[in-house]
Amino acid sequence: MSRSNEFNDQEFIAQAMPAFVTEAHEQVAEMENLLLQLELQPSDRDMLDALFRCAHTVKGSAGIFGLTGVVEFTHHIETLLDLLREGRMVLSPELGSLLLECNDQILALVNEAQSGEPDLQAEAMREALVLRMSECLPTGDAAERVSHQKSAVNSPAASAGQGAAAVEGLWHLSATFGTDCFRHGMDPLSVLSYLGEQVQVVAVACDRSTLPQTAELDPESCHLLVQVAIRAVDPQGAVDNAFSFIREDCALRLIPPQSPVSTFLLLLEELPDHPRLGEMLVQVGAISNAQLHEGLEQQRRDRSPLSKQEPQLLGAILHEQSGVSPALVDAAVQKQKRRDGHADDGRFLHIPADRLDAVIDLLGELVVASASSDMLARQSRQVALVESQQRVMALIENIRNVTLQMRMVPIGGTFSRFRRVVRDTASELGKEVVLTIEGGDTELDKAVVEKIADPLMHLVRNGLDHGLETPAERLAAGKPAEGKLLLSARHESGSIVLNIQDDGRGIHRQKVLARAWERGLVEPGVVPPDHVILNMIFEPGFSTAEQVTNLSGRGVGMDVVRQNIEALRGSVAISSVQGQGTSIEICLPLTLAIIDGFLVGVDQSRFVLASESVIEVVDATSKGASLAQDALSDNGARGFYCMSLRDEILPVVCLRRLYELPSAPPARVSVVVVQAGQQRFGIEVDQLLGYHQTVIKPLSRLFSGLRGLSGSSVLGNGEVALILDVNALRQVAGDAVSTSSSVSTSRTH
Amino acid sequence: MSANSHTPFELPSELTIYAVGDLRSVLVEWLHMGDAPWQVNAAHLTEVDGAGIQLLGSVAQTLASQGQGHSLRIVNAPQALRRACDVLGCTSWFEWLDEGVTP
Repeated sequence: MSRSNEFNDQEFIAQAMPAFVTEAHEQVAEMENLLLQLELQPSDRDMLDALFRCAHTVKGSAGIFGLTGVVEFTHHIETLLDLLREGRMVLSPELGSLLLECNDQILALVNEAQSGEPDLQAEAMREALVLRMSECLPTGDAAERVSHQKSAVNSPAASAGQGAAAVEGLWHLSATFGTDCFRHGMDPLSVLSYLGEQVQVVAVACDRSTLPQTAELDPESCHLLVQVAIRAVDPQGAVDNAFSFIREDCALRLIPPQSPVSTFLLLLEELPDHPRLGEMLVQVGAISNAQLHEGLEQQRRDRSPLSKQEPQLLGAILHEQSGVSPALVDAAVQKQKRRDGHADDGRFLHIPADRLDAVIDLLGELVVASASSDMLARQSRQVALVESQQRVMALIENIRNVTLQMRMVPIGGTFSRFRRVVRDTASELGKEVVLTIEGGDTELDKAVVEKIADPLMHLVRNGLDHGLETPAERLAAGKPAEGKLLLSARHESGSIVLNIQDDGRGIHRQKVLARAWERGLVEPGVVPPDHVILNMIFEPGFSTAEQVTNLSGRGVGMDVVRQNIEALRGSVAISSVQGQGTSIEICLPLTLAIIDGFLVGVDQSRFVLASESVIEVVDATSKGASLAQDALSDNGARGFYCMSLRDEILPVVCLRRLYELPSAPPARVSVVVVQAGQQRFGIEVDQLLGYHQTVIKPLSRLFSGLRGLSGSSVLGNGEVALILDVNALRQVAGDAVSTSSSVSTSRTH
Repeated sequence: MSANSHTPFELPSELTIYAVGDLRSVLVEWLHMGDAPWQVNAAHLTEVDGAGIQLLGSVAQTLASQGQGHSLRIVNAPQALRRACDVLGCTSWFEWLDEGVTP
């Protein structure tokens, strides 16, 4: 039944489809997460409820878009999930695996719907899954449910003669439609119309007496209560089907034939706002007038203070009845539970990420602008103005911090995805692994979370593939057959620390060294310190033929992992005990939008260094620099030289030379010693200008050719400071070490 | 008797959730200004949904609650409206002035 003209529908669908796809992806991911957790706690009622709700949500939304494929397939899953959450089925490991496979197919269906390209192979898989699902259903239910799902499509008459009790009777359905059902896009008329096509509706009555006066009516609120008499063998399936999308907004009661009057009286008790309900029941033939009056009389007697009978007797009778007739649907209670479970729903908003970025950018500018106002206010020496300006600045900084906080998402979501990977990978490799996740609610910048996911995945796979041994190997080594993998996250002094730890075989130093010698990464015969050996695995070209398995070594080497991490201004460190396990630690900045910077000046230019990379500052005379430049004319021209710092060679980059800044260096310069990865080097600057926290503005593509810069920042006085990319400078400085070491040997002669 | 009482209220072509907001105010006006017999002409009606029927029902209920035995008559109701009221169980809410059509 069309509810508006065709054009508006199509527009709506086109606009809303992306939101549906996003939501569907989220629901499917959540279902997978729940299924994996349920493997450890198969009877957790809350999780089973949540699982059902996810499937139900997907089905309902898909229905709005007319995606019958998704709806039908998800309906089968929903049936199983409903039985599980009612405790009428047990979640066995086999069922869990089946549901995981089905969940994957929901995603496939949604993607197919989006792309418009049907996948016949997947379709065949789905048919097989549907068959397996129906085989899982408890007997008795199975025959009736499956047959009714099918017969609901064919004809109501076919349902007679199916199942054990093939006797038609007069069922009663009471449907109280919720106030918001119109607002949620539902129409009781369509629901009942559909129901009438599935089963034989004998009579319908809707209560007019409780409709508000027209002057007081909110016409978009629904005040409809409907009583329906149905002649059928078991309309449960058809009712479920017809009401499936509206169940959240509807309280249903399906009362089987030959139910005692007490059942109906209980209905009356439950709907006290509908004094005409009794009449309506008589009107549709659920009970006779005489029965109604007699029953009401009895109720009044029971309620009187002289009566010894408990009023709860009715309720007790009903429970007895409902024990006998499983078809009694008590959707009102379920609805309440669902309401409670959905308490979170209103608390979140979906916001396009770039809108948030735009706000953060503007706030960054606001911080700078207010800093300059602050300066002017001070110069004016008007106390009131200065104070007012300070308040404004404090507020702006607060807003900026809160807004930056909005970009933070818990890393738990990413970690949870790994459960599936670990589970499937471990079983593929024939290994037993227990994955523990700690600190999942640790929050970091959304951009960082997105970019760290792939490197993390690679590291986890590596750990599974090379780190953890097979159960046999572990037992032989005196370890428990089950390997342990720990993913953890924590905050530590302004950074996020992620840890991937396994209790496997650890890194075999000799093998690594042998490979390094083989590949010429280290001079054969030379044994570098332990941490250097371990870090060899991050060198490009280290992936060996032995290591290329199905999973790792497919061109996404550890070197790319490290590069990706360092591109996020992070660092990765590895430690390992042979025979006991390996631990990989990744440090990441909390946010990519703000930098805690150390400001330096060279000539008229200003540069910012990430303060976490600054180790110390050393005084150096420019005289020393020029001496070195003489000796190393090539490097000197490019701005590199070496100096000695506490008996170690420190390569130094002279920014003045590197960026060809015109003026002559001052008599005294400073060298800022920084750490980038494993490398330590110095940066020569004229002035040290203190710590500044600034918002990073990315450099436009115009400047992508500049070496060593990763962004710009606007200072309080309006000047622009360029942000130095310490890692990029390291590359450049690293080259200087190799040339200088050969030269220094020559100098000693 | 005013001229109003003889001309039924003309229902628009769409009696759905999209129309009920505005239509309600007009009907309130009509209830205020008009007089018996209370009749609505549904000849132009092409689309109806639950919200629309509810609105009409509310009018009928308002009339009924005045205690003067007035009912809401629907004149020239198209098949779509009659069928919809049957499905929703609302046929008895109104008086139908074209009894030639069996529900």
